[in-house]
Amino acid sequence: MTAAKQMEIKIPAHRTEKAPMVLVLPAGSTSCKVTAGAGSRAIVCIRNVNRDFSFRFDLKKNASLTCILEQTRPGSAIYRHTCRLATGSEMRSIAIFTQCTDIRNSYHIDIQEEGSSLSLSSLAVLTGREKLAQNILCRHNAGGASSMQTFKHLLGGAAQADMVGRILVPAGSQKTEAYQQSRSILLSEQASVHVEPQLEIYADDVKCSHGSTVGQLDKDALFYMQQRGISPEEATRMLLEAELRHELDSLPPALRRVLGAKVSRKLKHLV
Amino acid sequence: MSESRNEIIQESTSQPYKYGFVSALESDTLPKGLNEDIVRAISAKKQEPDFMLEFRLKAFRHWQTLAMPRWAHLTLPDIDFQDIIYYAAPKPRKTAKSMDEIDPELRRTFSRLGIPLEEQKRLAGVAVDAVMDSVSVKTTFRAELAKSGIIFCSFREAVREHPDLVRKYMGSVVPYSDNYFAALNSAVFSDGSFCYIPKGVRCPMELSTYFRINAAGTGQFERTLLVADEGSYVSYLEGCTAPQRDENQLHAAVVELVALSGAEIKYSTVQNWYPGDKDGKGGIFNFVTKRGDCRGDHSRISWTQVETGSAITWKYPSTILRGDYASSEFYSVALTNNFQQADTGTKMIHLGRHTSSRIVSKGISAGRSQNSYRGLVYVAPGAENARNHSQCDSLLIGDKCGAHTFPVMRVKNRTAVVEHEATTSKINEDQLFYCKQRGIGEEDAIGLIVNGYAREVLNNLPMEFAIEAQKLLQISLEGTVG
Amino acid sequence: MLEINNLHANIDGTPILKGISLRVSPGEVHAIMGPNGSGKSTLASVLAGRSEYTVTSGSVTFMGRDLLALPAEERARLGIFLGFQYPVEIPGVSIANFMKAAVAARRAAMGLPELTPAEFLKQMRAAAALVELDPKLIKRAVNEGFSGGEKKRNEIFQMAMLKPALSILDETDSGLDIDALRIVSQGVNQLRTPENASIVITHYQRLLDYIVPDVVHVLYAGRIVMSGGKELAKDLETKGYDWIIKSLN
Repeated sequence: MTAAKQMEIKIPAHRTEKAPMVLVLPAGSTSCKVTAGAGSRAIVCIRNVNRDFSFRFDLKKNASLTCILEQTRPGSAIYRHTCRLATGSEMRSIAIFTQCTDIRNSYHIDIQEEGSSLSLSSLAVLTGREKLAQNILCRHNAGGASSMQTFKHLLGGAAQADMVGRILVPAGSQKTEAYQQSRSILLSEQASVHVEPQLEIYADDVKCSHGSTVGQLDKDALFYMQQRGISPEEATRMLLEAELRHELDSLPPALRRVLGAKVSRKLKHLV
Repeated sequence: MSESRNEIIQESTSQPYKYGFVSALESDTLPKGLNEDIVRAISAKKQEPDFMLEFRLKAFRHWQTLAMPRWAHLTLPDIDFQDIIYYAAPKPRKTAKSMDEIDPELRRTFSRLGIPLEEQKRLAGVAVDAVMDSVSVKTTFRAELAKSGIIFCSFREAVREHPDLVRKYMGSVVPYSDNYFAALNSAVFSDGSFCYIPKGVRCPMELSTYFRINAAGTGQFERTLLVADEGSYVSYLEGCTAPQRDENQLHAAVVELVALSGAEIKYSTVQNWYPGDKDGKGGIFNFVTKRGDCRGDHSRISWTQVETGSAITWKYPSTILRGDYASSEFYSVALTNNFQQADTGTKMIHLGRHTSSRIVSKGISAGRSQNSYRGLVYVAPGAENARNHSQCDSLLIGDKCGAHTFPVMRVKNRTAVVEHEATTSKINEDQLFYCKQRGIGEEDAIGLIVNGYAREVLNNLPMEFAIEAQKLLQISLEGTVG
Repeated sequence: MLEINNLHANIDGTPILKGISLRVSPGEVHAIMGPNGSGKSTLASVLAGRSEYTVTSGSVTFMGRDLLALPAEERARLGIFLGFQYPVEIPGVSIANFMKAAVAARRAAMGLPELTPAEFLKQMRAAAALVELDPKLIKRAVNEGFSGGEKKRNEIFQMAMLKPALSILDETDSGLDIDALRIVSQGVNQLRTPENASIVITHYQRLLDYIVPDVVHVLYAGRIVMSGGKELAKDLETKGYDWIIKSLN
């Protein structure tokens, strides 16, 4: 019974999977463990899970794993991701939210060995009464590793986004580099955002910073485009897409087109 | 608004408190513990009007329903609130005849801070010539203030002489229901300061200077209320750089500031309460609720704090930006060493339109201390065009301390621009070496660099305190090297 | 004044200086030239007392004292000045306060009384004038927002204030235009006395047209491979470092 509930995927050591693998989650399953063997490279896609689910990622030495979480159909659920990084491993996680009824997305990352790196990005384009709450805890349990977190929220209607992100560097984890960035743009009267970036640092030879902005689009850029004949709505949409450009461009080409199109479609509902 | 000559001489020469007290208790001190009778007794001793007693009782009853909060990033001791004396007459200070009788360590600190000799005497409890010092200087200042209609007196006096003003504003910024320690303070507060600046008046002097000479003993549960009427200005400094000890370990003060239209209040704090010894024993717990209400349009409140003392510092001077075009700034340097802990920061609540706030927080952790910044920037749905910029940096000296940042941004209006940045780092080795190559020793170099790091905040203090504060930072870093 | 004997030093286990011997007497200007990676900056850092470098063998005597036994600030107080190649910025610390602390330390070490504020200000103004540094810059934080030329002039300004016995100028000319080069060199020349000495480290010959050396040494792969008069610098200019390397092999 419990066996059926947990799915397991093992990527063999030194295997390179060129094409993104879409995870098909069997009905009734509630968790999935992905083990990336030493030296392996793979991309895993998780689509519209829409039920409470736990993902465990265990990266072995020098493994490289990219996880793309797609939430493009309405749904309410709690997603939990836990991740463990060994020496020289690299975890990239990109989450794209264009349709959420009420989603809670949490990450618990343990960087266990030095030389590893984490890159976590999350893009949310929400409107109506959509709600997204994200909770991140990134623990640098060993020194000499780096982590980078980026959160972008484009909110219209009465959408609500929460982000609580903690970087924890225990004593002894020297030469850590940990960064967190969040950018939120509210496009309507009733949209709201709550951001709590947190740093808990007990080691001194580290570089840690976080930055958070909640603001608006560049008015000069908007006018420049309008002066060239582009409508204000179109210009706004283009600037909003530009906000997400960097993360979208980092997706594998096939997914870039599809997800890019979904994001564009959603943006039309915002502006 | 006149203090009897008797009172002045009493404060200056530390005579025992002589006001009458009719009850079964003969002594001037109440027994330990806190219950409704004690609250009534405190009020009776101060001969307060009914509204004051009512306020205290409501607060006390509310406090009884609360439990001590434990959410801070602090290791808090268990405080037995029944083991505290809530009312004691100002203790006659042991008067020494000259500075030679004073602990040489204390004398050394005074001279390093550059505190003038006369003040050293007062701070150390050396008998001063009452006629020469406190009285005449104090009388001059009071005359000058009186000319402008400024009221600046003890809280106790304000309740007696200006009950309407007190009643109108007290508890309007920090209601007793606000938090555990505010409730406690509201029930048992001892004394404090009251200040009222009339319309259009610019207070002619830094109330810091006045305050240093006037400060009568250190209050355990102090209450400060400062009201700046329309278009007025006042700069107020509390605390001092000199190390201050107190038998009372728990300090839970409440400070309320009200700025009406076009008024500006500049509130600076330099805090150097006894931080405990090198092993973290003893030390004062400083749990303070400070809040300013920018009630009128175009009002401004600016907080500047330099915190180097106390075993545990727990405070968030905050501003409610109620009026349109209101603005507020928070500048803070919090230095912790040895086993000190600090959980401090600010809350900027944007309610009015076109409001702005700026936060600059510099935390310095050394030894085995823990230093946390906690802040809230809240933009209400109706707060059109709010602007906030926060910069919270932490500097770690040594690898056995911690620096933490917990900012919260809650934005419910789309025209707001809220920006926050925080960095945590250690002292730059290149900078240290550059100083050393110019012959500056490591401890002095760290002192220089730390002061440079805190410059933006120190520049906001009234001048003479900026200089003292600089020296204070340097002294507080002692022992971090080696 | 300075005697370096068979100095070997490494960083992170990699040997950089592989047996340097050098003698500098009062009144002398020694130039050290060499291709990138030869160990020029390492030599400067080791003499100044940078802890990242480990001396594995050899000795350095300065004014009769064992220099390697002293920490950086004590070497400075004895009279060693390093003009950094990349002077660091120290935000919030004004040049005035920085100099106050450094000058006080040096004078105390020399047994001299403290300068009065008036004297100090006078010296600051004279030093600033020497390198045509705008006096207003003195109120600014050390090197913060300074152009390359201003940073290098600030180094010589400090040298004028501290009056070192031995100044080590590490690629002082890098990143300077002709005017800045002239000003910096003029400053260095005017500070020369028969009692003090300089080690001028440079990659290019042109600085040595302005600061004329008594001796030129060529540093290659961690060793001084050739020494000569000032003509050696001109030879290098025309023939390049390859000529030296070839003549060694």
